[in-house]
Amino acid sequence: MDGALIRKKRKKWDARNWTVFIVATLGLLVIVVFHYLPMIGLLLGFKDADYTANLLEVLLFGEWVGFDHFVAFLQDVDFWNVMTNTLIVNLIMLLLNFPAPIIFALILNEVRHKFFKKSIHVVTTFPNFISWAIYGGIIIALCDQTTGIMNPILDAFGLSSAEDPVYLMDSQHIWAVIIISSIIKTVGWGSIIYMAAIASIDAELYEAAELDGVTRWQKAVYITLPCIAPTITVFLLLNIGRLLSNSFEQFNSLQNAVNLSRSEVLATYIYRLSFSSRRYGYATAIGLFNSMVSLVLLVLSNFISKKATGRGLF
Amino acid sequence: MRLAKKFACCALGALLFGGGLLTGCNNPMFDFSDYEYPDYPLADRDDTIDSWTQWTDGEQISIDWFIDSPSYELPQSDSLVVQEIRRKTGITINFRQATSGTGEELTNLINGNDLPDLVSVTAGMDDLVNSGKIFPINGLAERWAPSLWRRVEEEGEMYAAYKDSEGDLYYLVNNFYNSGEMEEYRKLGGNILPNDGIVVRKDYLKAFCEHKKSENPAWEDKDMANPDGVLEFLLWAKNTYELSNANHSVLISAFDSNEKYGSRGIQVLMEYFSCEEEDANGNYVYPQASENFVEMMQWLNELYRNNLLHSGCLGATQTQINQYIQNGEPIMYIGKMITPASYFRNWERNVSGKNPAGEDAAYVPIIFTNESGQIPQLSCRTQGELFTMVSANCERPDRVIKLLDFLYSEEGQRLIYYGVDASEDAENGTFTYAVQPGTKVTLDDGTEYVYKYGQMDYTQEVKNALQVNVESYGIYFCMFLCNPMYINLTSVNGGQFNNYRDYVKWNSRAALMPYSYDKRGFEFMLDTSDPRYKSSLTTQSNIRSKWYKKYAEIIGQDSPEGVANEIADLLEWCEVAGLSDYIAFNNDCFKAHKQRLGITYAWAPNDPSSGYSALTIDSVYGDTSYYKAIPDELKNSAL
Repeated sequence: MDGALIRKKRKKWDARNWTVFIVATLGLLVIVVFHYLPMIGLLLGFKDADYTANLLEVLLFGEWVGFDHFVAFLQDVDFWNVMTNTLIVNLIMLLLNFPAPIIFALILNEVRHKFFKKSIHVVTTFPNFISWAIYGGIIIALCDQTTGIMNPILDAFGLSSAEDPVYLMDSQHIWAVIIISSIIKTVGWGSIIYMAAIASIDAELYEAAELDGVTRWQKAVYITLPCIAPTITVFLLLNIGRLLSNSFEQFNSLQNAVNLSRSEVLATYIYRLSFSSRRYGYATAIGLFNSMVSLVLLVLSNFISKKATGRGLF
Repeated sequence: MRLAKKFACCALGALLFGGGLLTGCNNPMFDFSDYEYPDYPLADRDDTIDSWTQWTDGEQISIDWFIDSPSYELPQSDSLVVQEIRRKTGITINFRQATSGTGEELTNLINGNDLPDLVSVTAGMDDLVNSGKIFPINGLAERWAPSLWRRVEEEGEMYAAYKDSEGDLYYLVNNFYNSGEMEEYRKLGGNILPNDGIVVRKDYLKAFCEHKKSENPAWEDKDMANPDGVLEFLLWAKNTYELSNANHSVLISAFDSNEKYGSRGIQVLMEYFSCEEEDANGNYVYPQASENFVEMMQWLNELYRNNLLHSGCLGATQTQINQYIQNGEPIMYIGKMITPASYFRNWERNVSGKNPAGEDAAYVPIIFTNESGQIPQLSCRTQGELFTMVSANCERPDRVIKLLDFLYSEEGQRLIYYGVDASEDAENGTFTYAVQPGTKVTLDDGTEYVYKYGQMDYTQEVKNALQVNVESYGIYFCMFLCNPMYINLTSVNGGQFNNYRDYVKWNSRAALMPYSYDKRGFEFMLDTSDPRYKSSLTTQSNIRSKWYKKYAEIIGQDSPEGVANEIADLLEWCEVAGLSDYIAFNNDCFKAHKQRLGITYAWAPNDPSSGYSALTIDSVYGDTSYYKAIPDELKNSAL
């Protein structure tokens, strides 16, 4: 029924709205030029493009190798290590980093003092505007064993000592560092969209609930959360679609020779293969593999979501 | 209406792709043809006339020069040297530089067919040449700079090392040491420094030696010039000075996936432990498969198990390492010496305020053997670093080759290192001749020596400037074709010694000079025309990447046996990954390279003429007679 109503209200566009079409065309142009045309480069994944100095020539006239690169990747000795790191870190991030801004938005929504609320939001949003290169450098400096502040803090909690100092950037701790630093950096910014969704909830619902004597906790659980559920669903689906994607900058800035066995993910692996080893064809094939799996995950999770909740992206 | 929408979408799509293709067809991007020489007037055939003098006023041009290495500093566009280059050649150079060492920007330039007029790279030059986008130097020189080709042929060794199978030379190389000039330099009392080394805190080492002597007066410091001796010293220093387990007591140059052995620290340690790369028959061998390599890794593991080398040391970035050095944290540092030179200086000058040692506050090089007493052979890389090529996109190759001729010539080298002759230009002059060209002197051994180029000394004004701001004159900033032997042979100091840091750079390796060996035989390149080339590169990339990832794990094992097992497993993995084929291909290229150089052995212990068998270690400090004392007037210089 809702759909029928929407269809009725939808405006009919015709040739008289040419200005709108022109504006839309610009957007379309950007998408075509920067998103569709580069897809021609995916052909490199099927060509013998490794170590070449002229990718364009290989793209047009290079030797066709079919699925050789894909087969090689599945047999690559690093395949399981890289896939495991990518999937586990992203799953943990989905479990912790995804709900963090929602919880933060819910908490912030309950703060009555306007100035305090805004201050907290500004402070937590600020790290998002620092690039990972700088932010990563700050994290590394904080975790330094002799000059960083993390070890004295850990020491105070009995988690580190002068005799047995903890090196937070090693392979044992790097996932925790990546996840916690990511939460700190993104929680404020990520909560904006949920704050907006919360702001759009009809105030009458809360007033009615107050008349019925519900607590703040019950309001949050029974009114706020269900009302922002569509937004949460959209972002959850998008996050599931990105299960094989990581922030390259984040991992690259925190990686070192000691933690590489845990911090090498698809994004950094592809980068290293492309620009350090110059294996362009192979790296493109892995990139395409990544995209295909992400697409399948997105479609699958969208399908499940639609079946389970009636909501989906498409 | 729906039909109209579909039509509009299709039309837009067709327009975009059609337009793209049409513009693309006329785009030079799609031109894969080889270079073609443009039709500019040829230079005078007389190769004694400098080619860069053959251009007419009013023909000022501007060119782009891309330097694919972030470690070089670019000259200021208004510096004296750059102005002089412009005056001499009529060319304004717009320098561009890579921001990282990954080659990413170069890749983009190549694939966008946007290579600038001149390109200087540190690797991948043969692939660039094979793409047909580079002019051969000899082809250009034959047409427009015969004097350049005369110079190249006179020098001879660079051409012999880098000409291709058809006799074409595609790049001019900087930091290429001509063996004749090296010999000449040695005659004058000079020597070539090794690239890397191992240094320790002088105050700790001195105290340890005194402690050992107090225990046993017969003890000599050469007694500790072995892995056990060094370990004992490190443990003694850690305990005596109560250094915590968090202290970065032993540091290795930052790990970098682009390095041949994962870190320059690992590379230099392999040289200390004599991990051979060539067998007695002159064949290439894989150094990480040697017993000495296992011994070396077990030694590092011992440092690890004794809390001298912890994960924080292995995971440190070079920036962090530099900071630790400035604070005097490491008892020992292993690896590159030029990069942290400023921080060694800062430690000496107590910039951190943590230096209690006064005159002994310095890092000094040490030398030691492996367990079996094999003397180290430290590498001095002499075969070039930056390869400069003229791109086929260059619109004025006739002028660019003249520019290269100028920079490659003695006059150009003199300008880069010394600036302008003060006796010719009183206003802008920066140097004077301390010894006139052609002056004859009698050397200590009684032989006569003729100063072909003379010896130059800076004016006092420049000497003062070089102590605080090396950029002001542009001297030492246009080093993309520099010949380091030129400054060694022509400087009154026998090298570049203008400020405090220059002396620190020298002294951090000077005492190791008797143990340095010209390893140009190992600086071979893989034959790109061989069908095994690509598969070999893939194997190399896989194997290097695997080692890079495993170093920390191997060093962090619980026991020496664990280290040996890990290495054995890794070598087994390498074998499956194609190590044997890789070694065979490397061996062929290695032998071809040695043949071109006219040498039989590249590894000093195999080479009877190297003097290796006569080498001994008389002191853990090495040969300190090579140290240069820092002049008092430089002690307060800002640099």
